[in-house]
Amino acid sequence: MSALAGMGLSFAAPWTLAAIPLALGALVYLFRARGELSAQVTSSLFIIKQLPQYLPSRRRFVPPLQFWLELLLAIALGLAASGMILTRTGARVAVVIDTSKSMGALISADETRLQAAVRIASADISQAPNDTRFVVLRAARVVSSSAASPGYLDRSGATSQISTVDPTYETDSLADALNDLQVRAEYDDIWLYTDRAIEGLGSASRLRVVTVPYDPDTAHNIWISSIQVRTPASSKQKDAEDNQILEIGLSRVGLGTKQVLIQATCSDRQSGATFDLPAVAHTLSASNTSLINLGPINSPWSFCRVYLEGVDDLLAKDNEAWIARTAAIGEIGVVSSLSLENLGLDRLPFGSIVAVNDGDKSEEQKLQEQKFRGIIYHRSEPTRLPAIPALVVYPQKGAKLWGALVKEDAPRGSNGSVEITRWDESHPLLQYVRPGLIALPTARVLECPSSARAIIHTVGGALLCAGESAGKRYAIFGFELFPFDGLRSPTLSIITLNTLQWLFSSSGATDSGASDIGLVDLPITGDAGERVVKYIAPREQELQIVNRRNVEASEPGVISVQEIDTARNEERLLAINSFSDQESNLALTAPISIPSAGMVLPRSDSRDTQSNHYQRLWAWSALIIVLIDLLRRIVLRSSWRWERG
Amino acid sequence: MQLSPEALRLLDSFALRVKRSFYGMRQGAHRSQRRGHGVEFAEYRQYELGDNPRAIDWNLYGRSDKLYIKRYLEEENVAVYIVLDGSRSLTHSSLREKWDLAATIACSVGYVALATQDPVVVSVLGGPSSPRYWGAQAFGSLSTFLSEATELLVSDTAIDIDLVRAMKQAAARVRFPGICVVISDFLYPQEQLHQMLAPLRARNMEIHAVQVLGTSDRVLSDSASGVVLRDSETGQSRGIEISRGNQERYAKLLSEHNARIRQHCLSARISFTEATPIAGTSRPECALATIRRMGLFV
Repeated sequence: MSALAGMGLSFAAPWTLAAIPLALGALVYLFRARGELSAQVTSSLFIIKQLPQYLPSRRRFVPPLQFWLELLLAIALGLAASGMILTRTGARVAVVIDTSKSMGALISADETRLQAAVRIASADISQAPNDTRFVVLRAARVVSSSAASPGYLDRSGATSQISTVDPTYETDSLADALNDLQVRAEYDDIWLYTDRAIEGLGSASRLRVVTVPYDPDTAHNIWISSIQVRTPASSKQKDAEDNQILEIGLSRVGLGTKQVLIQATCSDRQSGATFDLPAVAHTLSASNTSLINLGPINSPWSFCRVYLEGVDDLLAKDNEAWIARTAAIGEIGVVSSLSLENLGLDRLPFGSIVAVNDGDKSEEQKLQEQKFRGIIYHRSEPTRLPAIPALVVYPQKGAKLWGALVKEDAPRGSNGSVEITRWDESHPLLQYVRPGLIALPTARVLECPSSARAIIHTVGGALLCAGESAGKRYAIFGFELFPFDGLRSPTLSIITLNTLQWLFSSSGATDSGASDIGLVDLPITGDAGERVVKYIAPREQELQIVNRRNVEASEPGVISVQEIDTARNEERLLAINSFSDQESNLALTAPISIPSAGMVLPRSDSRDTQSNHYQRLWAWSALIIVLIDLLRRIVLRSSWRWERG
Repeated sequence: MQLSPEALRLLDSFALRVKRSFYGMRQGAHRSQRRGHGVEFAEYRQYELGDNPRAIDWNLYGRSDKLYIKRYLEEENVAVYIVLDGSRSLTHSSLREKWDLAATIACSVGYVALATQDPVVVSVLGGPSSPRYWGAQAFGSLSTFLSEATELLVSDTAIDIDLVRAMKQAAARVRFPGICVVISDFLYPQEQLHQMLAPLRARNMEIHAVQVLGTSDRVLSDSASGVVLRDSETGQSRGIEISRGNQERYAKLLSEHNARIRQHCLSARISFTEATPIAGTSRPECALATIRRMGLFV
């Protein structure tokens, strides 16, 4: 019934409904006429008059089944001719609540931005007309319904549902979300409650934006913007795990200086006991960003929780971060016929990088899933979709990569090198560089997979594709990237660093997808035994494994994966963090820009041309007519047979 | 109205049989009331002045010494009057089978009469009357008259004819009483029947009544549960439920009505014959069967 809530029936040609009572009268007349006596001429009524007279007009009209069927048929025809349209009577409003992390910031002593947004939205909903229908959506990284069974609600239902909206740790992407809503064109109005301003709204826009009132000038916040594990260059490989340093990135927005105390609590890998790292006091000036080292950590550890004390800022969620590491995961495999030294990869600060036998293709997937957190294919290509982040460098001509095709060599320019014509400088792979300065002796044109986008172009096509498949990033370079030598080509070296950073994350111990809240891919090895997944920080809570490798995580935390199998009883931890300057920098207004032609939702008077705003009932009418006529024919045929029998 | 050669050949074997003697107009094949020079001795009569002396029976004079003359029965023709009921109860287009049978009977009677040199006059009640036809060669004219009368009368408009008055007019045309064949359905009250036949009886004619009934007259239709019957003459309508009880009741009423007609005809020395179209038999055959039952022909 919820689908019919707020629906009304209207007619394209209502005057044809007058045919229904006319048809009723005609049918009654016809059936009475059918029941009337047939007239015959007789020689004389002389004898007939002595028989009792029979007056058919005094007979009671008892309609037979055929009468009802034909009446139904006439009604169905009349309704079909009238052009029944199921329309929605009340306006349909999508109430979109921004639940990104910044909405958790306080705007007063006891109210966050999200609470204020909910309060304002509830007031707006209560003042809407009675027949208005609402859908409550929460928008952060994606737009989703706040209810398990999404549907239109009345005012009270929407008010009660909106109070259940929970804050998240996610970064909002409201521009994309609003575009999605516009494309769907499902709602008459969109009410957005956020802490960001919207630019580019026209007068015809049906989008109403309520920006939670706050003063960006008084906003002050300190947040952990990054966390990495550093291994001192002086440490030997054997001692690498014992002398690691946590590099904490701190950022601040606000006036004056502020002293904070950075503390860390780590868990011992063997015993599970916790131990504290020496706290570090640091003074942050206004809008300052600092890197603070904690440690070294002198014992094997599984995870550390870093938190700030003495902060007293408006957003508390970003005052702590977790980092976890496992013993097995951390290496990057390189499939190449060249040695790591020749490739220059032994100098890269990305944890352990090991060479993989190039010819052992049968073990490729097993290696991908079990051993490495990333893999580099140098002048070779994988045969399967990557289960871990993958980098493909200068693949063979004609190779097919996840739907991509390696084409012919790129045409060379007048100077004998491949000229890069355009590039996407907004992509992280091209941070700090201008690819137009690169002189490539050879390159191969790529046809990018559907899940990737072209980053660097030449006249012959794309040279660099980067994308994400099944939650794993990958990049395909149509040109040679190695040997990595900081002096050979600074631009190529920076691109290499950017790529490794983007693919394999900055930390040698954390999972690349750890910053995403939602479906987290767990690095589970093997398939033996049952597993228990639970949060162990910031609060202990058991989680459900969605499939064999994924778990739904609703907030950042440290996830414990414990295998119950007695023979292999071990505990592995995975950290989830959400670092976002956009969300933590409370003074950053960062208005959302809407295209000038965007968000002009169809008005109610022009909605008739859109099929999803009403539903024509032609098909149902036709179906009913056919069914009734079929039934009528069956009844007629059976009665005819009965009469003949 | 045409009769097939086969029907005419069958009718050739018939001859008119007159039960009573009438004065004829010409010499014919039937015993007449007129005395004269016939073959069959009739009576003696005393000679009177002016009688033909050749007629004196001299043997009887010798025995009785009185002059008597011998008188013989004349053989003359007999006028045949055919009275056809031209009311709508026979001439309605939907009841045409009755009229066709009646006309066929009239045509057959006329053929036999003309074959025996008897004059034939046809009077259609409510319609035209024919001239007097003589001789076998006049049969064509008789057929043409009946055909024209059919075209003239058969219609589906209701007309109520005063049959008594029409019968009086028909009787007034009788100059020589003879045989009168009245063909009708006689579906009217008994009193009207009496009034109709009275002028003919007053003319001292040998009357043969032929009742022509259609199939719809004999039984109520059973094609529907009810029917509205419209009088072909008056146009009045009446709804009748077609039930077994009503059908039996109607058959009984019709039978009683016919019995009363028959009783009246018997008392009035009128022969009464029923003629009904029989399914599967041709109209001339039905007519032939009817005139056989009439006792008018041998």
